[in-house]
Amino acid sequence: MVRAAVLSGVFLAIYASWQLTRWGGAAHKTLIGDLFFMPINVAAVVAALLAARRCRAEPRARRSWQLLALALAFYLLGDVVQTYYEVVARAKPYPSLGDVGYLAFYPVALAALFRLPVTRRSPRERVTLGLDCALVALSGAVPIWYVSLGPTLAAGGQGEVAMAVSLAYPLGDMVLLVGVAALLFRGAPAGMRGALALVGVGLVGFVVTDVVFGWVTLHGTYAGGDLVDAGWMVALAFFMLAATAQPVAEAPRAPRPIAVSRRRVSWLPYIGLAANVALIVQAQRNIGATMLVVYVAVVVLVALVSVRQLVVQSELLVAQRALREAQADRALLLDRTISRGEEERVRIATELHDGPVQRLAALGYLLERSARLTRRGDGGGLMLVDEALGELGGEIEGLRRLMADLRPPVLDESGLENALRDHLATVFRQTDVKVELVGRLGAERLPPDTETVLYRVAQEALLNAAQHASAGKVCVQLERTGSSVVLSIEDDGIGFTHEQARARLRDGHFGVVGMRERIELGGGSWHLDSTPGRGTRITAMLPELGAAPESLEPCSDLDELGVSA
Amino acid sequence: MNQQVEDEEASSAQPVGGVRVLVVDDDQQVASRLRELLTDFNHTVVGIASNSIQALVLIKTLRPEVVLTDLRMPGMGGLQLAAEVMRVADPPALIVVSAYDDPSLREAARRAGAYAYVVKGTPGVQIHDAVVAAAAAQSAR
Repeated sequence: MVRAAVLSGVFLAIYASWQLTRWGGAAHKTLIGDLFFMPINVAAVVAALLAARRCRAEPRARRSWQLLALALAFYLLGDVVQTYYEVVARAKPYPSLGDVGYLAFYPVALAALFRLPVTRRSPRERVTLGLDCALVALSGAVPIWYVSLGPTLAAGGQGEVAMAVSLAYPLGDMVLLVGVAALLFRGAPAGMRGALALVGVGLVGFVVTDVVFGWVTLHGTYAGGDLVDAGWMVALAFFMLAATAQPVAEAPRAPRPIAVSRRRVSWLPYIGLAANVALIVQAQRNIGATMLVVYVAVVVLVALVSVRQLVVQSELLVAQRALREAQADRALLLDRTISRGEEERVRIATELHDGPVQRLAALGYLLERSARLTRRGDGGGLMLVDEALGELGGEIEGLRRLMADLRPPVLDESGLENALRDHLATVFRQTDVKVELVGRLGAERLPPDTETVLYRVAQEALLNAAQHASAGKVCVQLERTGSSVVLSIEDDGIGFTHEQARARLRDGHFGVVGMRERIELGGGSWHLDSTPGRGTRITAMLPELGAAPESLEPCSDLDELGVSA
Repeated sequence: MNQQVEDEEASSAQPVGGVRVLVVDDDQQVASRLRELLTDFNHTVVGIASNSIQALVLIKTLRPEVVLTDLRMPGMGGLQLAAEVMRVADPPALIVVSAYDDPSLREAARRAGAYAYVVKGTPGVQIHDAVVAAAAAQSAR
């Protein structure tokens, strides 16, 4: 690709030097000018064929490059025939067989563009695509009509064949514009984007040169080697570069849904529209001031609509990104909910295996032994029954603990406040930590789901406080404010930084995230404030009827610590 | 109950008791209850191991005829122990005594080389029968 770029750069530089100085003499201008086309055109054909070979794995892309090679070969044929007429036969090469070659370029190049691999589309997307292509092609076609096609028709004075050929070129350009629009809107496959961008530039250059050529032939005469040739020369160079930029294609993948992106240039039709209105103003500049104002106003209106479209599109992009992030978060959360549920089952199964099942099996052996001894008339058998009874009592207690751990009965029986009081006492039983529970929930019970969520959040927060905070005092507050419930858990421990919290998350400790998720899933809000050396405060608000909370006052002994909510 | 054990029980005309057994269980209480049970049936519990590594050492030094092992233990589990035991020269017969009653675990134990699979909590006499049958099979090898 780089080598091709350098070579074509050098070649174009030589061509430019010729265009500027006409070395080789004016007598051979046409010959030299025509001959310059041969190497670059041949190079473009060969490059396109090589690109087709690199696309063996992707049949549509291969066919597309083959068709482009064919189109360029037709163009080469046109060049050769034209050179023959101009230089050897010394005849006016227009209209001639050369035009057949040139004109064949247009439909074949269009076919190449339509063979490009594209993503699958919904019917609605196809309609949008069609409209976009039509808008761009039409807004490009109007200047072609204005500059060359219309005037050619109006001028007349040619034979029928010459007229037909003269009209065929601008028509071919219109056809190519449809191809360019399709290239812009259909969305190129990732691997081909660079190559197709170069093809697009080449095509636009080609069409623009054709329009200039049309204008030149209307207002003067054209001979091979004129400056306008440079446009086609550059276009051919771009086709060649495009072909060399085609990487080895991979097998086609499953179609992706089309996303809104800046690459889908959906503002382009508006720009096309604006350009056409500007064209009207240009064409009508000799009309009266009144109409001119109207025309200018229309141009401004179209420009404003275009800008608005740009803004809408960028809003859509932002919304789309937010949606994607939300979806990713949701997937992650679901994933973790499932794995957390499974972890919990593993934990319970292990506890049952290591605890009750072993104990009961051992108890069974004990009772069997007692029966054997008793049958033998050994008094020791009865003593074993007493031992078994003691073990059975212990076992029932163990199972009760496991049960309470799964779902504390006090939560169902006497509410959140009492359950938290019991839990605080259990967690900090053998520590020097001072605990305080301030409950202002009133007599009425909260809905069961609210109680469960707040209990689990408090459980997690207290576990963190007990394990990591090195706190001297922990204060839990529960308050009903209007129609929401606020829970706050505050400690005067060592606190932590945001980085420390992130590091714990990376290590797989989802406690903090889990708390927030529980609350947010319940439609509430959750805040964590922690400063190293100054304690931690977690505030969770759950709506009972969806009202906003009033703020909680800090715990009596903690406000001098400066822990802020 | 294991089919093999049932078959052996039907033809249990062998002398009862007297088998040298090693008990492997990380639960001390279960292990000592198993020892009491086996002693009541006149077997000799040559040792108790609380994990598989210890069990492998005791198998080589105490040369039991039968090893009774738990399945789920910290570190090396019962299935892996069974596989390791089969590599010992003149290996003892191995009986898995597990809290799980699961057909695929039974199959895995059989493939690992266990002679029988007994679920924890089944009557002690079945463990006794399994030990007797396993000892007979081991000496017949």
